[in-house]
Amino acid sequence: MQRIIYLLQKEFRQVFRDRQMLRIILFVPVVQMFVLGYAITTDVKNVKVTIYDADNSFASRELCRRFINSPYFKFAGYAESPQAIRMALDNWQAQIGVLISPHFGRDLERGLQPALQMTADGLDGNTAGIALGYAQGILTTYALDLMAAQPRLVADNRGLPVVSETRMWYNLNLESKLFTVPGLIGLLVTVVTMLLTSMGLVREKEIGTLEQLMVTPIRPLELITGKVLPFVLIGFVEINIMLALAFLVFDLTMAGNYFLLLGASLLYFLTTLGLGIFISTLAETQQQAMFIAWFFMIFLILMSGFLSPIANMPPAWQKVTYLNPLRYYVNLLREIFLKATPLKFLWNEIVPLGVFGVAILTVSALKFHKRVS
Amino acid sequence: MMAPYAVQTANLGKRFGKFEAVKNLNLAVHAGEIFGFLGANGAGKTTAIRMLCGLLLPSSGNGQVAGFDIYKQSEQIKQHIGYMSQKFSLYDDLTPAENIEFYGGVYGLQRQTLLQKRSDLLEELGLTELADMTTRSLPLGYKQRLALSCALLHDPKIVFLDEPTGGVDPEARRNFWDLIYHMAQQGKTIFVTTHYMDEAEYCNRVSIMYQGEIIALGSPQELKQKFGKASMQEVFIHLVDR
Repeated sequence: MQRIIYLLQKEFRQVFRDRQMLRIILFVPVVQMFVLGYAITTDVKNVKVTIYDADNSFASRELCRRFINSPYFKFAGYAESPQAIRMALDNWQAQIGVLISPHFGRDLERGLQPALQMTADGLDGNTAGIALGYAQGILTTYALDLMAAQPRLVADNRGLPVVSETRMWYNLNLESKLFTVPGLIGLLVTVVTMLLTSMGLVREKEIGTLEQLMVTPIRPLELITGKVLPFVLIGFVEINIMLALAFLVFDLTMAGNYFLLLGASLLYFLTTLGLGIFISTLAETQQQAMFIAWFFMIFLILMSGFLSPIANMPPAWQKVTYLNPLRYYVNLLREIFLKATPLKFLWNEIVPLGVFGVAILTVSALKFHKRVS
Repeated sequence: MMAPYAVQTANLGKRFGKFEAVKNLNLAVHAGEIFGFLGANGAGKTTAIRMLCGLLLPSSGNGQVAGFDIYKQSEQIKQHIGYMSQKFSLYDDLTPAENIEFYGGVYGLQRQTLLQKRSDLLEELGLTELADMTTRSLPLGYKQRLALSCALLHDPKIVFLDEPTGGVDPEARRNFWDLIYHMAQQGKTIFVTTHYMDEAEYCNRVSIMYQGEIIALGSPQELKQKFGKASMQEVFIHLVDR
């Protein structure tokens, strides 16, 4: 116990003496949060749209007006011909082309359900799909308004018998920052705790002090505890900095319990610190440690559901994500942050997170022994 | 039963894959002796010393240090030995006082003893004035003696020194050997590797290692007589350049 205190004292002396490193530790997550919090967005806005209105009737012009005034679309000008739509998509002037057929207005009057062609640039399928959804929404509203104004069209019994009223819970306006920012906290503490732990241990390997410590009677567990505890504290400091940014800069409010969030984070740190120790047993230099840490981080992050939804992955890979502790942590962050989910509904995430953490830390601590290779 | 020797090995060997770094090492170092463990770079000295300090598991053979088995009792060994490597192993960004405090704490010294020892040592090393400087800015000779002091805070019976004078100027090397004599007078066993042959002359006994094997063992006087040479330098060149 006494040894751990001396180790901690030494670690903190080193951290606070190295102003440069201290700045990096505090500054990097702030910058990343600022940049990524805004940059990583799945919001689809300002989709460039071009319209070829072959009808030019009262009804078709009304439809055009709705596209032009929609906040989701940015009007890229009328197309002169059907070919011009193709051209506009080809040279990126538009992402969606709407073709209104001749006699659109007349067919509408007659209740003939005129067709409307919509072409989307499917290269970015996600955006295209969402944009088409918005376009569909415009058409639905248009149809509803039309029926309200001209009830005789409904008499044909071809209108919309059932109309759904959608409402997005927990994230009313489907703002992606609500989804992204809590997830980012998970990502950034992964980098900080895992990388700093492994580099801190490997640095002592490089300068030879680790070997010196190994010939002292210090126990491996004492050594590990003394080396990782400072990073647990740094991790918590970073979480609080990022929470402050989430509240002040991104206008988020935390629905759930702050201490539950910290508890979940502590469980997750078992994993990242364990991996940090594991990496330090593999690497001889700090460069090697960085590369190995990067290898782990890529998998943790991309397979966590932070960027691409896990439900979109092939079934086999979906199963693999159950092995990813960050998956549970990102889920927990979002659940606690946005939905204020009470603890009793979170065990499905907390138990695996804890099990993985304890297992990884144990294996790493056993692999870390007082011998050189 | 107390072992008669401070360090004793029987056919100790270490192999890394196909490479035999140390072959059939047979040594018996008396308590209180200054034992020079000589050899060219890459002869296997560091590997042998690491096995004796419990840093590396041997592949074959047996060994005892301070009467403890090097396979099963490496933790007991660690309480009785001091070890200093050629890297000096200090924290460059801490002050000398902080280095002493840290290593003393790790060796489990009582707080009072530790503080007393720290001020004694700083004075002894002539570092009282420099106590607030980081270790990085100390001259090499100071660093070397500070590293040795840190390795001896728990007053070990056996001291392993792995090329302790590498890169240090001749005067500092001379001072360092005065320290080694001083320790031997206190009854400590000194196990020292070097490739400076003038230093070999200061040892009670030396062994010369070549490609993982000991090819000569005895006091410098005996070896010089045996091979008919005037200095250890010539003995070494004679043996290694055969």
